[in-house]
Amino acid sequence: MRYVKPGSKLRVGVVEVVRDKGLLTIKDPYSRLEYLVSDDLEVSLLPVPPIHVPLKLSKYLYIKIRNPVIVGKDLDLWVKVPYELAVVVNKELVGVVTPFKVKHILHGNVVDGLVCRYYESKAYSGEPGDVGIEALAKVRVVTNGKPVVLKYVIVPAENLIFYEVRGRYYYEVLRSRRTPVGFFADLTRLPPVEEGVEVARPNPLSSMHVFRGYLTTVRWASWAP
Amino acid sequence: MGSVTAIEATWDQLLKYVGVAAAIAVVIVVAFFIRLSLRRGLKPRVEPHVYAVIEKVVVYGVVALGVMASLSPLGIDLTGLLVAGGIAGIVIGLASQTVFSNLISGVFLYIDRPLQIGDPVSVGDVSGQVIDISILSTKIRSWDGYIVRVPNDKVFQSAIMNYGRAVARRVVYSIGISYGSDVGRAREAILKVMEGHPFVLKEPPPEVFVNEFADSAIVLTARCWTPSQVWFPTKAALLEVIKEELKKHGVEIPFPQLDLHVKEDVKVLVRG
Repeated sequence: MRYVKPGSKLRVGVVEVVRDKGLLTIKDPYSRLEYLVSDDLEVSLLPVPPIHVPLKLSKYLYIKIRNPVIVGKDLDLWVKVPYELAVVVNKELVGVVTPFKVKHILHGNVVDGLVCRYYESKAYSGEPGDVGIEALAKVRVVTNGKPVVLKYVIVPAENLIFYEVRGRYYYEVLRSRRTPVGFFADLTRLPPVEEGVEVARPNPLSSMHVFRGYLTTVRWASWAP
Repeated sequence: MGSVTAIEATWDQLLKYVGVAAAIAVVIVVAFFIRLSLRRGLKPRVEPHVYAVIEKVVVYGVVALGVMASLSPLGIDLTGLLVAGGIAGIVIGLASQTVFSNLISGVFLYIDRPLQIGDPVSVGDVSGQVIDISILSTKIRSWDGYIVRVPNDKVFQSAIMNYGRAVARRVVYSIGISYGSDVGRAREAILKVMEGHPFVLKEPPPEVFVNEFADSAIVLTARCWTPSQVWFPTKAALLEVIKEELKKHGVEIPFPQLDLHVKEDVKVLVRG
């Protein structure tokens, strides 16, 4: 959790946060939030599943593994993963922004397939040191004795729990298994590292349902190169 | 002696009435149980408006037939009623042919389920979002905001395009660039815009290719896929940014041009 104190500036990836003279401004490539916030209020940024920005179109996160891994017996891998930041003022959720550029991918065919939020990472055999602003996820690859080539893993991210250790964010341990429609991860509710502290989840976030309507108006254009 | 016969006759008549009343009661009880089993078995699986019609037709049909059958011991001849009913049925049937056709189409629409409330669709020449499907008609809110009522038989016979059934839709543009412009740079600029948009899907990947050498322009086709829900805003937003990006890359979008070749010298008078 990061606190935004009065008079401070913060930059996390492509997110810019400024709290100055009672005005809180938070920008990412897809939105700009502005609130008048009195100095006695506590403003914090909490990591949340990366599926809400610019619009919650899916509950799933697709992690493409740049260096496909051939796994014989069950194995633990580490990948770098994205998150979004919930802006919380005195425990009240006021918005969600993303420190990472957003892309989506279609897994499967256009009729029965699954639209997922997309992210790319290398796979690491141990916890990587040079993480930058990304979070880390430990993926337990279950093979059931049959070797698998792991090129991606799809995470049902809606109820994902985050852990924090010394300012670094972690996903809960993911258990990847092969299904008839691809490699999906189960959420295990286990901390990936012993000293991991579970990050509180802003409550109204669970009420942000996947967008099922059909937009007919242009609502943003700030993504443009 | 005569009074005994009269009493017996009255008794017989009374028994008949009791029998008929009992038969009608049995019919009502049977109809009640049929309704109960319909509510348990069919109601959860059927749209409420469709179920209401089915329940009424079945229950009232059973009661009507049962009552008619029960009345026969009293010597009530229902032949005339049936004939009259048949003739009335033909007359009503002819008069309500369209209504009946819509009703049957409504039932088939329910079984086939080509549309659901909330789906963005084109039915014949009507496009919009389905807001209601009743037993006789389907209501569509057009993209202009008008409520259009389409009779179910028209819906059933029309080609239906349901844009909501697929999770992704394709955006296609034809973009003309001048013959003097670099096709490679134009392709690069268009791909950059599409790859940068959050809703343009990574897979299937966007693509740009030369589609035609037209009179005034090299026509490029640009295609990409987006989640269905955001197809329109993505399509609208992309084109504007593509134009700007082409300009930045020095790619010209030409006006229609015509080269004139004059075979013989022509004198042109110019007044100063």
